[in-house]
Amino acid sequence: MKFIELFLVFLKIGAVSFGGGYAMIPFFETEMVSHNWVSLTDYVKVIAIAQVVPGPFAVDSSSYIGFKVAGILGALIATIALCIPSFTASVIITKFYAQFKTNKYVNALLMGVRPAVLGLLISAAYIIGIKPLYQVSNTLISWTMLKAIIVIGIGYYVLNQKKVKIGTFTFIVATAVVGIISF
Amino acid sequence: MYETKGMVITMKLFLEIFITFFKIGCLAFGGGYAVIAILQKEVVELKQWVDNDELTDIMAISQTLPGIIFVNSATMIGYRKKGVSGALIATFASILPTFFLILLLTFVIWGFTDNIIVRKAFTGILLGVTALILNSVKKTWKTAVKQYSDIVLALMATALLLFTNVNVVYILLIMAGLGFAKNLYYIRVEGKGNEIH
Repeated sequence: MKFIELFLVFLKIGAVSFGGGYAMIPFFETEMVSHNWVSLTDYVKVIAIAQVVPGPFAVDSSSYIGFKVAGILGALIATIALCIPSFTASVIITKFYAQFKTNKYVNALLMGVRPAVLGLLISAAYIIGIKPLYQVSNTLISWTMLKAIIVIGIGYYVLNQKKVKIGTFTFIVATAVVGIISF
Repeated sequence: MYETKGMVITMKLFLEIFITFFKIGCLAFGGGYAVIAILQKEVVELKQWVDNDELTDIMAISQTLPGIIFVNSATMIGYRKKGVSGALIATFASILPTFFLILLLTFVIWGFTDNIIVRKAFTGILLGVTALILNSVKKTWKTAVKQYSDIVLALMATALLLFTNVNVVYILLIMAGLGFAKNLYYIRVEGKGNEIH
């Protein structure tokens, strides 16, 4: 049953995706590709569109994938399932916050998962930046790939320079223009 | 008489929570730090539901829990204000704008995505997103890497994710287990070990 499958998969992603944000990309990618729900080519389009939609992009992902699989009800089920673990954990932790804060085992677990989150983020950068281009040309060494790496590098530099503060929205519009000019 | 009055007040509060978080959901562009600024303005300054210290705590916990950071913080603020029902309304209202806007926008834009100009623009945007991701690699590095062994764990996770077909869920569970075990070991020996900072 499509709905149950959607529900279980997104419940699982919600429960294990420590780090949130971009660190969730590898989870979405793995599940949608292995279930044959959405292709990476389509998913990265959604990520591009999500940049101009407010709110967490995990919800962009769940509603799009859910919609693709089973219409508006699928979108709703995927999104709700994704939020259930966060919601439950947040309620419990607010209730017992005082005990949690000082418990060394809780801290050991929460700190222990962080290096893995770093790995998830690095792999997310590969999935979004390099893999789609790799799938088109089937080689890592090409003129396009070099241009892509240069654009990523310049983007990273712009984000980290201290002189001019650039909002995310402006940054995204600028990268769209750079894309049109240089690809 | 008093009960009805109490109910009206409760309903008004629910509506207030809904409107506030719906608004936050509409404004939350850019994620992460941008969202903290919006929460500060709406929930701390305007509504005074939590104070600044509480918000800092909430954001810190939100980032350590699994799942969507934004949902975690909405749930916690809603819960503080009006228990589980407050948390439900806050969460629901905060993701409602995203839920509908992405479907609407995808529907509108999809036909154009095969256009060569749009395709090039999307390529540019995705490279920009990659730069944003690398930026959060840098920020996460600061909180995640306390010992040299953390770097080893991070690189192991990266290698497993990029070069093997092992499911990402198992990789995460294994690496989290290793990180947990490592931290337990340091708690037990009480030594600082090879600490960087």
